Amino acid sequence: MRLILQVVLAFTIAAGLGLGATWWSLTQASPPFGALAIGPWRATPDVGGLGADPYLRAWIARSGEAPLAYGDGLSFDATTDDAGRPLDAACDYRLEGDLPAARLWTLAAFTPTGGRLANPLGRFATSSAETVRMAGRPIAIELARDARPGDWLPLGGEGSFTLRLALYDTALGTPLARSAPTALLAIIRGTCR
Amino acid sequence: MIRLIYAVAIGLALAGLIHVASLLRVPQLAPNGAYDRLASLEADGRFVVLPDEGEAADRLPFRDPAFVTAACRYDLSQGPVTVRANLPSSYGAVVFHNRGGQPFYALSDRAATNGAVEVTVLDADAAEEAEADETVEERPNIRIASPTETGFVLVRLFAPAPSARAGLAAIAAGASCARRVSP
Repeated sequence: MRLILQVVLAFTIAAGLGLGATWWSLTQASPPFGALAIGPWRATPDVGGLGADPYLRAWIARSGEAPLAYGDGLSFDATTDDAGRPLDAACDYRLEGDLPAARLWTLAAFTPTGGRLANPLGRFATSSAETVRMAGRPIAIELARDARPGDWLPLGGEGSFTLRLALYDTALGTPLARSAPTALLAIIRGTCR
Repeated sequence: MIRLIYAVAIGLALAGLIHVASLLRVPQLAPNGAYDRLASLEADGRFVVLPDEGEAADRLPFRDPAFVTAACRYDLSQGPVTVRANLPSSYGAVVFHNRGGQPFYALSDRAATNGAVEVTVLDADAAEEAEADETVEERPNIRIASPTETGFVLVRLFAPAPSARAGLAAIAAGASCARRVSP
């Protein structure tokens, strides 16, 4: 009888911990290993090739995302501002700074599950082709519900959101550039309603 | 007491094995991967542009809204598939993903000749045969081996302005993803 109980105990621990660890590692907001963090921005350059580790592979399959390939581009996600507060659609944000060398970049706001952030204008992204650069001045993009002068990306919806900055044709994901990352856009919170 | 510790130790060791085994099975068992999400698009063997309106726009999570994206699912069990796509110089890429959604090959418009790229996808066995059959007279053709029998190809074209989307959608939909007629 005691033997049976011990066998049951062993199998319960095995199933509970084993499957629990798998479940836990795949339900995190970002892949558990291999992140490249620059300020509030997070990227996982290894998603872009077959060299991804099993955790990353499982995570991609579960997320349903079709990530950018290595030679194509690298995307960074931000869920907090520079001060570490979660991004909230009720607030205004200002993105400022310079970007590493890339052929083009795009910036878009998503719901936490990856849907487009609904807004009345139906404008979901801004890019290097749309923004205006002043000589000697950094990139500055306003995120707000109402139209702003300068470069503006409309916000919509409620609650938290994710910003995704994608750099195309960049060397940033290569091992050499990964070890000494340059700064990306700073995310500065403005007024909240 | 010793036997109880013994049982717990065995449980922990088995937990490690179960964790690894279940993790490795996730890509095959995940019910809602990118490949499955594209099923309702009816893009088997042809390119279909992903819609930009309504719920369907979010079919692939975190898809870049500044791009026009067309998808084609392939199945190599009936033979190799040839992908032909026009890539405008405003930035375009053809990206090959395996069954689990991982990209394994990408070409951008920089690699295009006369604005177009042509790539043949084969399974591992067919790739070896093709390598052996290679004749010098044949025109150069990019051949890649797919790690999985099924997968999908995305043609992603950058839209510098919203007004460019309609034209780019027509270009993306014009890409072909057909089974190669036997040479």
